[in-house]
Amino acid sequence: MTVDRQHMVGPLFGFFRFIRNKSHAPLSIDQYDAFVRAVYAMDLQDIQTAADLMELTKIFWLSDTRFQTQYEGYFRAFFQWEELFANGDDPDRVPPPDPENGDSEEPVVKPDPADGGIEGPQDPNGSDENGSGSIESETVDQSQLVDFELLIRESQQGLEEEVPVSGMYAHDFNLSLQSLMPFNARKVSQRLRRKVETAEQVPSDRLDLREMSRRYATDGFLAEIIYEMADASHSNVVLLADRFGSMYAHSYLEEHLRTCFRQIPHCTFEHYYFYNVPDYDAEKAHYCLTVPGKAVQTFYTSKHKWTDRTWIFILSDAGAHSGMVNRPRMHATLQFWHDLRAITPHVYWINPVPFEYLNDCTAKRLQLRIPMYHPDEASLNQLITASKSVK
Amino acid sequence: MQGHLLNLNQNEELVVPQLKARLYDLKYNFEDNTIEPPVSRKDPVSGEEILKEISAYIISKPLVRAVNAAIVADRPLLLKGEPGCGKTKLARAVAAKYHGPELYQYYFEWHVKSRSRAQEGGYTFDHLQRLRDTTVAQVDPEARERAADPKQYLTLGPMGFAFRAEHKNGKKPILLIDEIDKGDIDFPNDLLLELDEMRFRIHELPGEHFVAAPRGKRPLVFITSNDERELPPAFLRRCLYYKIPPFGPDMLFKIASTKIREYYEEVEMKDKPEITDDTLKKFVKAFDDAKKGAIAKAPSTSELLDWLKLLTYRHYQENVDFEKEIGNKELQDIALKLNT
Repeated sequence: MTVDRQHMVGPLFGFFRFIRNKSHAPLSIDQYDAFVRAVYAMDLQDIQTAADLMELTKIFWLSDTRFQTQYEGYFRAFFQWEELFANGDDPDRVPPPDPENGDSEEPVVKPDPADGGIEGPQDPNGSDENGSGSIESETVDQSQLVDFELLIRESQQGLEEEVPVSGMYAHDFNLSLQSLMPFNARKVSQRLRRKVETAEQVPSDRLDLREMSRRYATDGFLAEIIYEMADASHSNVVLLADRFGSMYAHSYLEEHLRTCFRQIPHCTFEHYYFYNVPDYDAEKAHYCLTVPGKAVQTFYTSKHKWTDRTWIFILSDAGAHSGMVNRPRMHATLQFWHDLRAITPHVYWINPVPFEYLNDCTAKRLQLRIPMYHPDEASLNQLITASKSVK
Repeated sequence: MQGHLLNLNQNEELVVPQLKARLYDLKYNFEDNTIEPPVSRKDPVSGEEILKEISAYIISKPLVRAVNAAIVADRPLLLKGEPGCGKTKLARAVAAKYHGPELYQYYFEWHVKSRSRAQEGGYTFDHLQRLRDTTVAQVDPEARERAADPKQYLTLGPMGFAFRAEHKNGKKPILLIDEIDKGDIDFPNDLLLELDEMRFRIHELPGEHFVAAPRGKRPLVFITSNDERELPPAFLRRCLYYKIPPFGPDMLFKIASTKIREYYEEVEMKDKPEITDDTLKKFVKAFDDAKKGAIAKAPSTSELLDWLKLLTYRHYQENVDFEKEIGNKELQDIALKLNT
């Protein structure tokens, strides 16, 4: 038997390629390889339905629970599409790997119509344990493998019942709030950490035993106890979130930003909220902010310990949803902005409402005086890049 | 390979029974890179072996599949799930299934703390002791001898032991890296090479001294995370992933009926009959209702077992009827932490 290497298809390779393009985290070919090895070695008698198969693939290819619903949707969508366009004679159904673009790094084989079997990836070196090196002999060895593509076809019966409209996969609209996040908290946190960290190094509370040993070996005595140096962080990050009215719809962003900032190492994080504009007490010359998670606890800005190394992020739509110009609010907001800027130059406004959709309103006018950023990856990246490190 | 996978034997779940495991003092010989013959820990007074009770564990079918996938793919299994769902205990249960009462020769735990370093999993070097020895070397010949040999100050960590532990009858040693999300943001990245190649270098020894898992004999690694922090994609790529879902009433009933046997041993039953299955089903139903009605954090399996233990104790020790006590809201609130 000869094998047409151009059109060889491994178990679920089509779906792997499909999900690889959709996946939030990069999927590498060795993750496919791990799956194939498992398929060969495991007892898969209990994989009876498409749902079972999906659960198995999730172990290998889904690493973040936030994207579970998306993954399941993609799984259904892919096999729905396969069902609609299934044509065993059409080699374009699953695009063959292109040796030129590197897709051929994992040679795969396609089901042989002659015996209905399916073959897995071959040794890239073209050798096998018997030393024969022939593709045919490997194919014979693997003839008892489970044909997952066929298994899927057989289990389509159950799947079809879940699909009410032809060409559409069954949405359950169970998107978690986190799946709407427009930026990757970890990435932003990683980029930001270099900016908020102070450049100076201070002694930590850990003994630098290696250095002490070295000095002892060199000098024959120890003049002092040596501590390990660590990144100092006199800076801290403050999130001030507006929770009034339309901002309620963006509350997930507040949570996401909080998650992001909390990940910054060696940094104190403070989180407060307010409604529209923080209440200003003229007599005591301070703003009143509320501490989240506490029943009634007010933080007065006169008691702050913020310095010029503090980074303050304000999350507010600045009245973008009101559709009107509120002059008192504008003045109050500008005053608040200037008061914060008097403490630290690192004050940034994050506005979740797209500026291009703004008519003449408070936010539109404030935007002329206050630089505002969107909470998306590119905009936040721009913010971090443009800002100066704390010195 | 098949022989070393967990086998359900046509059942819906795998029950790992309760057992008493011996504890061992393990030492690593850095000269010939082997673990010295284990010495079981004994009570200094009675001289008897110290035994640790390993409670029963039920591994569901999908979880068995995930563990088998990790064995076959030779990749760490990253476990997530609500606190108290049994992530941490799974590794020990698999070790108990594989290695029985000798499991502590083959099962190693590394509990990550906020200040843990990746190197600590492999080994620690007692710099302070060496410094002391070199200080007194002039007057203490033993200290001088020790100070000349850096191996004297090395202690192998759980990851090192897991790399070097014997594969008894082809069954893998097991390493648990618990709560990896507690560590520093860079902690998972510092483990990439160790998890990929199952080896690490000891920098304090001259030359390139590595501790590595023998070729084809990698340990089975379980990693747990409470999802408090995102893990880097490069790390995720190296792991298989399974989220332990909240259990349904059927599974909870199975867990309750298995665990209650352990609680019977802890109380004086005084010829009272065992709790019936019907009563246990009512108990599970009450738990399920409480879970659905929970305003804050929903109680987990761990809380279910706390409540069961409390009810069992009250039934047998304080002569309070088990079934009636299920309706005791005060006790329910305490055991299931519904007020938190």
